[in-house]
Amino acid sequence: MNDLTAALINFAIRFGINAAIAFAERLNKPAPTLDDAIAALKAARDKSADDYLQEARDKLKNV
Amino acid sequence: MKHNVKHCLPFSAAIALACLCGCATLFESTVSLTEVVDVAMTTWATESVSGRTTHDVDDKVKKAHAEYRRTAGIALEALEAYRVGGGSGGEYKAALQAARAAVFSLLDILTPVLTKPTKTALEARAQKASLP
Repeated sequence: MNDLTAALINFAIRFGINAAIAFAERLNKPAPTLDDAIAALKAARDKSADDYLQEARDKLKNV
Repeated sequence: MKHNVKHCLPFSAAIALACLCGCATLFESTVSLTEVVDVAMTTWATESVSGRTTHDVDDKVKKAHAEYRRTAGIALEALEAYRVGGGSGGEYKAALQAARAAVFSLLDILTPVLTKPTKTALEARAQKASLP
């Protein structure tokens, strides 16, 4: 058993299994970089409410 | 009392990692905020095209979302300036703070559209995306 596994087991015992799962999932996900933040903001700036509506209509058609 | 270092270390590591996870970085905050809006807007659009929203709510959502996009654009310019070394991190933080305020306004307007658990979860996520 490596240190990280032991740490996760300890964490689960002290804070609960759900918190440990969330914690483990978070560990697997790499932290966003500056480029990720820029890409997220670009997408946020460029996607309009009408784009969301169009996506929803397309989804509804495909159901 | 004798401490067993071998057993203390993993627990200390877990606490340290938990602290790291609890403290969002500036970039994590940015991505989290945009994800909150994406989920909220996708939910609204689904409800809207299914005829479960009023014109009044739709108009308010569109207006609040346009304001959010405006603040996201300002934050983007500040972050790009920061990347090339032409801006300060402070400018970006201020811009992101404005975007964050716009997110909460949008979530307030979406109250009739979002289920209570969804709204609570999104607000908690946006709240967690506090600036470091």
